[in-house]
Amino acid sequence: MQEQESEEGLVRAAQRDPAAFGPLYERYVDRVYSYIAFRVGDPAVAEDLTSDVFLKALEKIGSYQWRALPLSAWLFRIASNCLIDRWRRLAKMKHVPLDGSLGPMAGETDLDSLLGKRLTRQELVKAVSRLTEWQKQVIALRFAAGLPIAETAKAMGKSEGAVKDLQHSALVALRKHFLGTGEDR
Amino acid sequence: MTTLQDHLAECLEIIENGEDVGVALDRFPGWKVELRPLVETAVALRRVTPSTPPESFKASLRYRILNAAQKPKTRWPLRWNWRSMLLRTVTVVVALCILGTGTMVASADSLPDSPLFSFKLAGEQAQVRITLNRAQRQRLRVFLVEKRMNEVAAMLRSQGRLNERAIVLLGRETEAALLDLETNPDKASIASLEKMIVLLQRQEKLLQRAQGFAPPRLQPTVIRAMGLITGFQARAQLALERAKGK
Repeated sequence: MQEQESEEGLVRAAQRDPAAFGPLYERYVDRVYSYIAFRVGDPAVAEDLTSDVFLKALEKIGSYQWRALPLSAWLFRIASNCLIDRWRRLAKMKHVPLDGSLGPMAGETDLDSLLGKRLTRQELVKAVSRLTEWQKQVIALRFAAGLPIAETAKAMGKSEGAVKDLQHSALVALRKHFLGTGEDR
Repeated sequence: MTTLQDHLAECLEIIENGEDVGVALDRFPGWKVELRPLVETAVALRRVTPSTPPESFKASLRYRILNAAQKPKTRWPLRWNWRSMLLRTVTVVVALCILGTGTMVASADSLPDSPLFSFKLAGEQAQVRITLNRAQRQRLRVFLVEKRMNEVAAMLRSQGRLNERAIVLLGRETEAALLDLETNPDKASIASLEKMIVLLQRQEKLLQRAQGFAPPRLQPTVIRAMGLITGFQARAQLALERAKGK
């Protein structure tokens, strides 16, 4: 509650004077970057899009209404729109698939021992690519950006129940894929 | 009715709040078997998914935001070429008017804490806009970077005069010059790029000096500016290599 109040204070300060946007940037930059990096895979693209998100947020902070949406949900909606714009542009250029979640960024970092097996990020990339768009969105917001269920729901414009269902179905699908991959080896 | 989905969400939020997986699962004795594999998958995902942005990127974006926050909003986005041409023409006319009044002459030696300084900047920007030859414009931009550095140095010499505007303008001028230089650099850009690299080395030393003298309220601005120098140097070096065709 106190955190929410202090965040509301920061928002009001930024609305009065855009130069006071700094603390809000500091609070969210890591999470927004992580969310975008998860969705696009390429660190350079993630940096570009993160810049777009914060510059747009700075431009629109004056019209942001606290009561309508928590700031985190508002920021992640901007981030999501930036991603959609990018994918649309790429689709028009016809040279990259629509979703590059965890693509080139995925190295050989071991996914910590799951089921006693060592899984690589590459396997995670493969597994995530099989999820539906909404499932990917829930996984990115919940696990890459670290948003709680309530804020994830608001950022996605869905009910908390729907987000819980998507989280469950995504984890079941990932689990199945990981087990399958493990057996294939 | 509470479902597996609800328990899963609740269990994960308990873990997110710092509890161990085992302790969290113990709170749902009737659902442990179903929850365990999903919770393990979620925990593994959480370990591998968060990516941290590089500090240099964060510092540079912070600086861009600071600059953007200080810029007045323009009503005319330069979407159309005719607008750009019109703006250019208006700028030339305004610049000529300013030149005619002699304000430019009076403001030539002004420093960023002077009321005349804005006239000086407007004149310089007009000069940049009307310089259509690319190589000449690049030379002019590099010259302006040096000018901003000299202003910071002058303010440092008269103790207590250094202000945030001087540092921010130095960064902005350097960024503008680099953007111009790194866009399709060619042989004609080589001399300007070499000069830029030397200036950036001097700028680094100048900012180190500024850090020594700057009052505490200016320290964050100076530190941010210093954080950008490495990136500027790398970009200039890269552009020079491209210009030389390596």
